[in-house]
Amino acid sequence: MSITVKNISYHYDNPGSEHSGRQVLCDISVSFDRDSFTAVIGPTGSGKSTFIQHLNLLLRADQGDILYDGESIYAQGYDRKKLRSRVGLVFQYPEYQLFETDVLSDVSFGPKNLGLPEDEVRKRASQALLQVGFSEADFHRSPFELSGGQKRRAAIAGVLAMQPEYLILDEPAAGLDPAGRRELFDMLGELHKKGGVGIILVSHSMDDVAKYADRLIVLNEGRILYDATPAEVFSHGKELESIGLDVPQAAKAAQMLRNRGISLPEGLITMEQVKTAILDHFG
Amino acid sequence: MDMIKAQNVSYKYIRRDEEDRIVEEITALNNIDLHIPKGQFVAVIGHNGSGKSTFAKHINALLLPFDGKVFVDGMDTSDETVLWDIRKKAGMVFQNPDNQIIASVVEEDVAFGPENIGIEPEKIRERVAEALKIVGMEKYAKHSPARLSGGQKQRVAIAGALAILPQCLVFDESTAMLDPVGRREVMNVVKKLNKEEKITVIFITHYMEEAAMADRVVVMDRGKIVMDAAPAEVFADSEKLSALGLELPQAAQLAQELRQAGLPLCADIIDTETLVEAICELEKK
Repeated sequence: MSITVKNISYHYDNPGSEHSGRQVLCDISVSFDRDSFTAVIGPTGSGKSTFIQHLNLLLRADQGDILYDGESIYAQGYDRKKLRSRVGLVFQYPEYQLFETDVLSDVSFGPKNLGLPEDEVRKRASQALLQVGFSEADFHRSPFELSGGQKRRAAIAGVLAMQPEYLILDEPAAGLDPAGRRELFDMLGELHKKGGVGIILVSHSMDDVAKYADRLIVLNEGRILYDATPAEVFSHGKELESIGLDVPQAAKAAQMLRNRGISLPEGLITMEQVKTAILDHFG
Repeated sequence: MDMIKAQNVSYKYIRRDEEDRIVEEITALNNIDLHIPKGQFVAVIGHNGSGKSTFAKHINALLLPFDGKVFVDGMDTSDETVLWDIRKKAGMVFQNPDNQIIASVVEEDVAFGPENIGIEPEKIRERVAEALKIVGMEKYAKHSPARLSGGQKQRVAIAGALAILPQCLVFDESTAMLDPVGRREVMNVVKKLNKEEKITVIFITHYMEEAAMADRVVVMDRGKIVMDAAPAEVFADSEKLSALGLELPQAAQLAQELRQAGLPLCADIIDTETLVEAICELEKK
């Protein structure tokens, strides 16, 4: 159940558009497995969203191949529908796509479309809502009564109810308040810890990816610049800044302290790590 | 002198069915009283749905209060005869740069505002050049906005607002969709506008680090103002903030945890520079 991306390239091709002909992805090779919580980071326009849309065939590469479970998703007769139920994609601002009268019906929409029997549909939808932190008392609330963070999680439940093997999210915390943001990332962290779902997400928050992801893929101008652990990637502060990214605030604080002669170990990227290191230093 | 004066402002969103019957009323602003002096840099924070954007839209008369009054530099926003004077006085910059840019060349986009209010062409050229210079985008005057980064697009949107020579700018989550460098670029421009151009800034954000840079932080919750003080004071009350769905800036959070672990750090640390200074002081002792 791995995803293997082999040398894919992609360019926009809509006549009349200013972007037409622009190369967005350039010879990308990478593979994913279900154990990983991967964050894809990169400056605006680096190809992040375009890249993840290739993973469930919303976009098709001009060159190269993508294998799901060893089988080319570009092969003739490949079952796209099945792929999309295995590789679930959550768009930016997914709550705009909520439309049913209550939360449970909304989340049921996907599994119902798979043609599953009614009780199985309900079972999956309830399970997905519980997974994203809803209680049964909330199942019959209107999506429009929910807070921004709850709406976002309901929309993610809609994808989880398909029981995907991979959950792919495009900037899932954009526009959420701090509490909503933390709830959302904690929920994704839980999902990952329980196992069974590989998580791949696009984010602009270096602090969040430092805390939650175990692998970072850095895209710049349609190419992979780094593919490593967060600690390794964030050791390249200067390079990251030169392409529009940054290191987490914790890493910055640690570096400022080192520059002032306070000896802290290298590779600190979360506030928790910096706190422990400072306390050890003064211990 | 107040740039913005809101007196007992209330606003409701009303949902109607197909027959125009009222189905639901949601109180978005509940008796807001707020005075913002000229030249101040005010951050507004609060959970999703707390009323921040609704309040922002009252400042340039996109929304009018159900009850109460909003005055912009003494002008009543419900007085239609001064509507355009108010909109010239108070500009807005929104969240998504792609929805705010309309022309295919940067300088034409920036010229849109002054053209719309009938400024003569010669003056427009001056204003556009000046506005692009202030946001550091003068080199891109002839470029297509489509190829700019998110931060650059947002700076063009700010230049567009500046070209009508406002005295007050409202930023409604204008950094939410940007990458880290884009966010920093926009923050630097905002600080410069406030310090050098003396523009009154009302800055709505979900990033506590950005709010910490303001002169004053207003915290909203369910349509009310629940805290209103200097950043160091607002961010001293982590329990209250957490109950409101907010949190401390990371440096303040770290300082608090270090204090709880026994390090003698003072209570008003809210940014990384101050925290590093304070830790270096400890090292010397």
